[in-house]
Amino acid sequence: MSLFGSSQPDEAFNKQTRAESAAVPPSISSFHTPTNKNMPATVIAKGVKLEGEFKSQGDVLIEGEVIGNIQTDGLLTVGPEAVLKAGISAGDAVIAGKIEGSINVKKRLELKATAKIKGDISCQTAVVESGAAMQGNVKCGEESKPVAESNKSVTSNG
Amino acid sequence: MNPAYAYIYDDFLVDQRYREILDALETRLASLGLSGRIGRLTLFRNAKELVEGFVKSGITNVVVVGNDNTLDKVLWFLPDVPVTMGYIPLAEPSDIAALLNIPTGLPACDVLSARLIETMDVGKLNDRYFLSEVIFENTMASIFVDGQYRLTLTQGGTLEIKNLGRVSGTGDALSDARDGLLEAVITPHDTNVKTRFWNKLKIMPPNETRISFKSGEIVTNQPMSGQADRFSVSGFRFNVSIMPNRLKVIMGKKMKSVSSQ
Repeated sequence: MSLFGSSQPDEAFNKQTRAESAAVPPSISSFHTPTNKNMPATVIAKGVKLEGEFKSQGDVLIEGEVIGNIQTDGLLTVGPEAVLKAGISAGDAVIAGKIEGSINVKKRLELKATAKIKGDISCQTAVVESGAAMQGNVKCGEESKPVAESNKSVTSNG
Repeated sequence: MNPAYAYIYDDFLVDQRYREILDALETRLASLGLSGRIGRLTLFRNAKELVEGFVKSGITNVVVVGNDNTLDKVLWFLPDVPVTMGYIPLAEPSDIAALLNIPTGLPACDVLSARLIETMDVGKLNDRYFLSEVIFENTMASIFVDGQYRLTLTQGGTLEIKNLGRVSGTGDALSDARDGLLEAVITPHDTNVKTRFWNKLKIMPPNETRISFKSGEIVTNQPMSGQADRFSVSGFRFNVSIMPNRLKVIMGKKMKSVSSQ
């Protein structure tokens, strides 16, 4: 189920997605040019499992497995084959994989069609592709605060 | 003779085929005012004692003459000695010379003369220093990073810990040996990643894990063997860490920062 429920027509929704996409520059132009040039991009590839507390100031790409917590001030990109049982805190996030845990994004959250989220979401702006599945509370719009501390004004159960 | 310089010749240089190049080298160094004491490594001669003897006599620049294997004979202790390291590669392998932008043969004398000095980090694997990288192939090892999290190769693969790393296609070092960090590069056997999603984002599909860190512990259930620079290591458990700003090296030209590529 998408963020705005089944009443949201796909076409209108896709128009919104395209408009948002056009307004926002590409997330990362290439592997070696992370948004924070002082920090190399961190990559967790398929076939690798990360367990524990991971903190970064740069961009993070995940296509592997994570159990624990991920925290970054940069852009977090979760690929379609990634499986996370983790709490997430990120500056921006593009998610296409499976996440079981709360998601706190300071600015922009983008959920791709293959995303499957089981947990509460907090962000400033969100773009959700048709097909993305969510199960949990969503707070979106104001300055993002951790889900546990904020009032849960928008609820969507997938 | 310049009292500040000493040269360490590897034992393979006694071969007659190196006589000519060594003569030319010593002539060139003399013309540059850089000729110094010469110590020759032999099977039963301890390189550490040789260098410590140089230091006691006031020498501040130790130049390794040979190849990357010669470097390996001194790098394990050199960061603990107050000297600046120079390198004149005369034979293969000379991958580290390429990383340091030092040409092979006589042109390396001009690099010494220019004295462009970089202070570099060195890695430490258990008690052994390494400049370039540590490689464990065909392993299912885990690395516990900075006491925070554990990375595990679930299907097996290659684990590399890079300080200076290797030379990229553009001739630059793949890792920055001045950032106070090591880089773990983990490549699973199965690197078959669905590319469509990443192509849409204009991101290279992530088929290897990359993490920067300061210290870690590599652990495996099966004994594993690897290489620290060109030195073979084996065991079940390794401590690996970075020693920032530990070795002064005379470089060919200023290194490019990895982040500015």
